[in-house]
Amino acid sequence: MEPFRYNSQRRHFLQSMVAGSVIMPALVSELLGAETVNPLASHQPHHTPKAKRVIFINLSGGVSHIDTFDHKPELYKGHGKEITKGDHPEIQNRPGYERIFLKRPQWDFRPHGQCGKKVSSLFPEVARCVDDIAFINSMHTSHSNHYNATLGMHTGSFTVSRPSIGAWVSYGLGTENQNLPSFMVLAPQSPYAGGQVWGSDFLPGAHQGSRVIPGASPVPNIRPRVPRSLQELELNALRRRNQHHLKTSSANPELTARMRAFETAFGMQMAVPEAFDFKKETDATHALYGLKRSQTDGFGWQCLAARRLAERGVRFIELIHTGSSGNWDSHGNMMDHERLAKQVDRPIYGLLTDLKLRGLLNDTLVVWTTEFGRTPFNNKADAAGREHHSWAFTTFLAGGGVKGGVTHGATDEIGLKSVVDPVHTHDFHATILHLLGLDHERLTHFHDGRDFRLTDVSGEVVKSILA
Amino acid sequence: MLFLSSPVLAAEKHWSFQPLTRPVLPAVKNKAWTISPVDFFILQQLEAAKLQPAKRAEAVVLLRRATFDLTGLPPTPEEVEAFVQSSARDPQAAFKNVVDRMLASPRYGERWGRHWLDVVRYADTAGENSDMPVDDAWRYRNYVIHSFNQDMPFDQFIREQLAGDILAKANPKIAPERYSELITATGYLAISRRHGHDAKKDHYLTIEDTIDTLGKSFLGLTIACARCHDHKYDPISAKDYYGLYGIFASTRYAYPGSEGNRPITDLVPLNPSGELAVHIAKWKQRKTDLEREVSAIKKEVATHSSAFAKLASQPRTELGKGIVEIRNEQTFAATLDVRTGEMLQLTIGPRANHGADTAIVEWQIKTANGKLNWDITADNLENFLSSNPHPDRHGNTFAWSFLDARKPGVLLSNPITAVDNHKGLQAWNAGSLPHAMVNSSSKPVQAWTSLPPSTFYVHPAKDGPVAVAWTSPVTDKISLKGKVKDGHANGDGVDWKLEHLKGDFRQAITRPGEFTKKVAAAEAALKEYATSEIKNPHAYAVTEQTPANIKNIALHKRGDPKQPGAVVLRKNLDLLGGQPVREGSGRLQLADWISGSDNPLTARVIANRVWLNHFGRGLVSTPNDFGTQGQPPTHPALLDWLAAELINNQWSLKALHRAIMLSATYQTAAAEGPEQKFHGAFTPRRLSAEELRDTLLTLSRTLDPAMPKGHPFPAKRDGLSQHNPFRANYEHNHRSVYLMVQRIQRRPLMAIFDGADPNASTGQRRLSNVPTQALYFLNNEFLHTNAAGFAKQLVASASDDETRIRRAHALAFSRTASPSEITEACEFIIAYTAVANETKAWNAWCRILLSSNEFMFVE
Repeated sequence: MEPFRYNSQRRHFLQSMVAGSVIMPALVSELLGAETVNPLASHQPHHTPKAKRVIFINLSGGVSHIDTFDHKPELYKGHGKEITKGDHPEIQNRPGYERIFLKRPQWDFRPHGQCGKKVSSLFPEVARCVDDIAFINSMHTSHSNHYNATLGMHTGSFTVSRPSIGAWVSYGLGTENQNLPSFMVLAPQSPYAGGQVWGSDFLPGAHQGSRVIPGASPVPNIRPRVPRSLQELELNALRRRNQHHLKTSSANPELTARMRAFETAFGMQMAVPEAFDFKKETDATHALYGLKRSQTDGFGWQCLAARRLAERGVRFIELIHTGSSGNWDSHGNMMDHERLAKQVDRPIYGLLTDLKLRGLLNDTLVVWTTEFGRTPFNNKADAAGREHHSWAFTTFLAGGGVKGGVTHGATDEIGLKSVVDPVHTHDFHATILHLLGLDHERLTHFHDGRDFRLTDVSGEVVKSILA
Repeated sequence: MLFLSSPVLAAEKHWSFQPLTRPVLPAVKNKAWTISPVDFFILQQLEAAKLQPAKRAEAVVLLRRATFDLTGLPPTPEEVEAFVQSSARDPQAAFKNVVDRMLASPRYGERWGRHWLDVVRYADTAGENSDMPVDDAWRYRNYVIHSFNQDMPFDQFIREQLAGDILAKANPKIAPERYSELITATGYLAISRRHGHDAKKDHYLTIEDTIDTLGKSFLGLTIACARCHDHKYDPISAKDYYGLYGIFASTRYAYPGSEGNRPITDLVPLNPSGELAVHIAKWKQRKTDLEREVSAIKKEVATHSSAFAKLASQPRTELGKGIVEIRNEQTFAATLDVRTGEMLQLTIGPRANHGADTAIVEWQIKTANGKLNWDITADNLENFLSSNPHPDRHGNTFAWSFLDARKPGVLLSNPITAVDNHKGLQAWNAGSLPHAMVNSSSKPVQAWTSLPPSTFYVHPAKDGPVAVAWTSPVTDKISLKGKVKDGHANGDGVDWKLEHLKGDFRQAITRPGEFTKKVAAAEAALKEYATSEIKNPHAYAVTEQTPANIKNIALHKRGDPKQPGAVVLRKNLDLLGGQPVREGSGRLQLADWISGSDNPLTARVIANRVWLNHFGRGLVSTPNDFGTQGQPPTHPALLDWLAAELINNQWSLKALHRAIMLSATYQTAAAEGPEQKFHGAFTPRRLSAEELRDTLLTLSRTLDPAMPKGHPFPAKRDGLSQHNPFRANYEHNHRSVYLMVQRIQRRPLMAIFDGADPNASTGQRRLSNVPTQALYFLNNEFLHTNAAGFAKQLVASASDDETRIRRAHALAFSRTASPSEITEACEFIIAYTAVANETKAWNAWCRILLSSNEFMFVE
């Protein structure tokens, strides 16, 4: 065969084509025509939802309930009093824990807002928002190890891995913005139980969380390695090749779906960095979150990013504060809570306030949680720290469909056990799904010969906090 | 079976629980199309639905399909060329030849072994809170790959994985290699997932995982449902579950360590026990001897040390003292008479702030006649760590010594070759502080402060001083001078004193040093020997419990081990006969029950897996669930025929591959239409994560075909915890089946391209098609690197564009390029070169090929 020769006119034409703009995505849409099966297509929920999306704030390590939002005057009065041990899972058979004594909080509580909710001086800024918040003071969970309790708070399973709540929500509702993942996790460090926390397990892979590591380049494979004009040239050539292949190969619907995925990916290269680019945010907004200009880390960055992702239609946004170390696990000294609270208090206030100002709080559910609480006692009254405590802890919800200024349930007089209207992790999940228009008993997936759900075989919606 | 509820009674009539019989071939009209028995079953259903099978696939398409299918890699252009030619002469014979060639290739086991590793949820870590690395897991991985390559009969494969240790020990004449293989095979059980903070405490969950995987992998049954209650749909009771549970509770699993219970225990030696016993006895004797030696020398050290301490405790004459303030220095000088063996000791002490006490010491001594002289810096800078006491330049071995001055007469005994990893910074210390140190390099070292070159330093402890001493080799008049200088700008200085100690110190300081050296050497020998036991190879495997620990287990009410119910006898599932355990844990009997050819499930389940991995779709679309909640087979008679054929061929999987692949059915072209559902046309499939990576490495010619062993896991595990779990992402250029798999952290490539779940049996990968995959092709570094490697190969292979383009199509798509493709490619290269450069143009063009649908799908 003759070696190929190009003609020079064609060469000039091609060169001018490169210089001009090539609007790739629109062309591809036209060419592709009919929509193929998209696992992330937006779905109708089971009932009319109050919230369209979730911002799930997860403070890792076990935030003390009795030092923050669960005021227990008896602890101040009874400081140093010996109490009976019972069958507390953390101190059974632990040497040195034969006797235990009440330990008072190191912070004072005072009432806030119209509702008069008592909040400790650890969270002065969040305290300004109490009239928009529903607190659950009667949380309890099934395990007092970080790993298991963290897994339980995310998947409803305390042992083996199961789909994360974010994956379930994505599976149930799909997404509103095809240029961004439906479930995004902003996590500076890896949490307890690692990637299982945002895994999709047996649900389709499209629903797994995309982890964003705060910093200059937060999403993997998102930064183009060639200039845009060249990338458009490449994608045009790819499209032509795929089109040609489409004509000569069997009509496999996966082929067109994959062409569409490239179109979306091209868009994501712009949409993702744009979502994390705060240049157009005002100084006032930065200040609201306690964030310096051009800062790309810290919890203020995570909170502002969360608002921007919420605006852009991301279905489930999780913010992890710290990770599996350097976190709220203040065994050694509860004063460490002060350092950590300072990192999150202002940003959370900023997020709630900003969402409200922009009218986004009406249909955005903000969830504040941790994996378990901390003991109201220790083996010495003057011990500086508190231990893991699965019997009682506090969480709160705000926004989409939640009553403000209310507190659900209560612990006993020393914060040891959830005694009034206890709420298990499964109930907590059922409530979040309910607010999103999903019935936790109907959101199921058939796997291994049976239907699985986030709430396993239990879960009751906490009705008293519904607006 | 009175305990069974009514849906379960109905389930006993369920298709998969019925005995397996070999069906006769059905009658078909279009006999001319059939070339193997498989085709009769497929054609019968097509004809019943009034459908035609698609035409035969083109030779190039068929070869690419079969090569990826059996090896997970693309065919080479030479293989394509040869097949096209031979296929033109006799298509069937040609195809049979390539199937035989690929089944004989070691690449086959890497592809089909991986399918089995999916089913048994293989991982290299344990999965408990800290996700402990498992050093020996790889042996089981490689055993699986070898077993597939050797075409080990599948019933034997089952028996070895469940009871290899029992089989090995039952045969006194077994070859050592075979013994080791059989032990390794039980890694199938040992790799069960571990749970919790103290994985020994949560072992009941590990047994559940074993039973779950056992049921799914061999029987296609979800037995683990019966942990909490009788199975709702299938005839499996809680008694069945706890009957199996007792078998595994009577089995000792290798234990990987966990945060709450760290020692790694119960690894299984790969040597036969007799050989091992002799080995261990020898080892223990040698270890005892070495330990005795160490303690004898330590006694000597103690004796000589106390002699030094006694001598050093005599009254001293003070020659000078002072306080050096921060950033300051003081000098000292003296002239005196000394006798041979007398000591001059310069002691440096801490003040209130003892954290920043690095002090520089200069010290010169000379005899009155000036014939002999000494210098602490010049004498000690070279080979500082050779000994303490350290010789002077005249060869007096005892001249300089470095002392822990918190007590009289204690030498610093611990040599540090690179303090805080700073090259040139060497110290003698006693548990970090106090220390005497030199910067022997010719450059300043930036450590906690800037340390000038070629300088001698001391640093006292927080609770007491450090000293340097000169022991006189002469009886003479001497004069000395020196300097103590604060060496750290942030402290509060140090104090010092210079003393004259009477008596002969020569023996007193050299003897402890000599013996300390001997202790160090003996301890090093002991340590090396002690760790040599670990080098004795082990498998992450299982063995029988001791007879006292082989027992039946009480049923856990509602699955809670804290609520024991009635004791359940160890036994087979009632569904499979319910026979009781007679011997040991019962694993060997269990292996026989499962692998027996009268078991209706086992052969059907594996035959379906083989079909599924050839066609991307099982005859039963729920490969891990053949129970009543699973899907019924689309071609029940074909499934039974394949299962019966497998048993007939002594459970040879390679024979089953041939039976399937050498059919007209396997060789049909891909076509979209109703016939596809009936296997009347081939369904294209996407490349798996492993195929994608291995093909990229192949095209860039960087794939390393060797079979690696373990992973470079850290030897020290003490720091691993739930707060700081093990995390690594070791990269290499071997095939992807050898990449390290972690349970709690997925590799990005596997997460993006739907790799197997490392925590639960994956019967079939759910292949997705999402934009994050497209982003990988657009911007991933590995993809860009390998595309550039591919481009480099092309450019080097020919000087003209057209040849390069043809070569690229042959390599990436196994076909010739069309004229229009060549035109377009040349135009692309020209256009791209105009705005970038030629190298970048070829790189970009290769990325397009690798991103294309044709590359990513096998037809």
